[in-house]
Amino acid sequence: MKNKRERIIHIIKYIVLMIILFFVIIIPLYMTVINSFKSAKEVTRLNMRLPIDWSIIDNYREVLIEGKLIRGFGNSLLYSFFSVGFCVFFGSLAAWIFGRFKSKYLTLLYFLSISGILVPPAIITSIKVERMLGIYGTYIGMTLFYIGIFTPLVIFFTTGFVKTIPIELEEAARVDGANSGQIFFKIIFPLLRPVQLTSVIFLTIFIWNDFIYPFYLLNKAYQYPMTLGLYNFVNQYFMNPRWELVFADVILVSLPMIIFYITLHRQITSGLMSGAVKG
Amino acid sequence: MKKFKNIQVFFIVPALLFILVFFILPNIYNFYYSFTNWGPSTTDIKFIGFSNFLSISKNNRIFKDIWITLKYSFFVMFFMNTAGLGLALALEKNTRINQLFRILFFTPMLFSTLAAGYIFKAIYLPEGPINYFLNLIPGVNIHFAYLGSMEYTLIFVAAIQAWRWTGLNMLVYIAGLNTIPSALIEASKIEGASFWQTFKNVKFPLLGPAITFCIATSFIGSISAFDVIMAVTQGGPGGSTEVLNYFVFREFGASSNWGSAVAISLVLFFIICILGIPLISFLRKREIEL
Repeated sequence: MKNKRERIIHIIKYIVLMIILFFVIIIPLYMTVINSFKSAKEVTRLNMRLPIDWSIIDNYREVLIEGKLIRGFGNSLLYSFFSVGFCVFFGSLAAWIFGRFKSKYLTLLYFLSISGILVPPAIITSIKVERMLGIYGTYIGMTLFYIGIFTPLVIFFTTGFVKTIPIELEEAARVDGANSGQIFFKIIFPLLRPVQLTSVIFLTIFIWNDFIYPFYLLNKAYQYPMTLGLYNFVNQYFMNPRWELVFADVILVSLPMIIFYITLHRQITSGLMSGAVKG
Repeated sequence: MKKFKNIQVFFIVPALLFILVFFILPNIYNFYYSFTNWGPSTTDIKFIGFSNFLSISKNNRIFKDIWITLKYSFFVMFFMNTAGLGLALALEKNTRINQLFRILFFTPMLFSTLAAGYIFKAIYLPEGPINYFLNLIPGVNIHFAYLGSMEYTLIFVAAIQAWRWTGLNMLVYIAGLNTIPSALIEASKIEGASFWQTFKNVKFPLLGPAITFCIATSFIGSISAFDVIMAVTQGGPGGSTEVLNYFVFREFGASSNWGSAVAISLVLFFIICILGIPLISFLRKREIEL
């Protein structure tokens, strides 16, 4: 009797989930894809029907060229790759010290370092700082800014993880005559791989999809990442959007992350899950 | 020991240097430049007292925007955490079908908030899919413009940001649920506890770290929202979705005095400190160690 009731509840649960999935995820994405295939004339009435006149090549070619998407892809790749790499490297170095050693100064510095998780970056005055350093509106200025604002997250994730590594490993190495540099790079750094994966995934999703910081810190179109390119492309006709092109642009801008997720979804899921609860 | 100190410094300095220059320094500058006439081409930066703060308070605009931002943040946090936790409870067990559902519910995270904004700008059109499906119901005839309402547009915009981020909260809550020892759940089942009782008395209290993470990140993300407003409403209709970060952009773009834009971001800074620090310390305190 009880078993039968449980099975009915089980079935109802999945039916409800399917309905939610259909309306909340499938319909929006299907509408985006199908309308990006239609001609300008057809798309004025946004509906779910298949295109009569398939204009895939026309739409996507126009977006690629007019939206400067290839350039944007290269730029996004550049910003993500270098900022994520340096964030994780510098963050791991600092997290080892914060996780291992105790002193008043270190605690103070630790809280100063991770304050960047709670407090948002001051974007307007960052322009001032970057101008003083002569790096405003440059590739380097954008990348260094990302390193400054996302290293706190890496320190936060990694410090907690360092504390779970048995200290005996380090003591043994020290007895054998290894110096701190050797201990870190030969023993600690390789053991940090799971938490580094977590950081890489979080930061890649954040930085790739970021819009506000390049919006303020870059001023030359050839340096724009894909998101900023999308904004400028759509903004040409904000009041009267050409939906087939907007959707084609949205899809092309999102495609790299979708491929990233399809290839690494197992690691991404476990990385995201472990990062949050252990931290 | 002295040698050891040097090594510590060497390891910390690179990270700290970047954090100091690109995060701490601009935040300190906020306190200074909000009291000046600094602008894109000011050569002679002068101290002008509170006039930036007076100019952003004209017609109570800053206070209206603070209220809008708080409401917006509340809706995003509410949607993200109820939906995220609900999905997590439904998909908690590591079965194949659940894993498939998790992947599908996570997909919005792969779109930028800006892109999600453009997708929903179309969905919310009076002739868009929502009204299309509603009108399939016999007797219903709706032409509601979801983005044209002074009262409700803010909520519909908040739903977009929640749509994009809920998948992450779902994963974090699942991870939290999976750390609860199954013996505890079994025990409560044997005692005859209902689903709701098990949730209220066992799961919810033990979800501490996951709740802290999800509430804190959704608070910070929503209180400093910008992308979605730029994509969807640009502050409209009638300024009803003008959140603080969008006001910053308006002042930044509209006037030759960036000091007033800095003043708004200083206001945002204080709001986050005043609400965020107590919120997070409260959440951390209620976490239970097993």
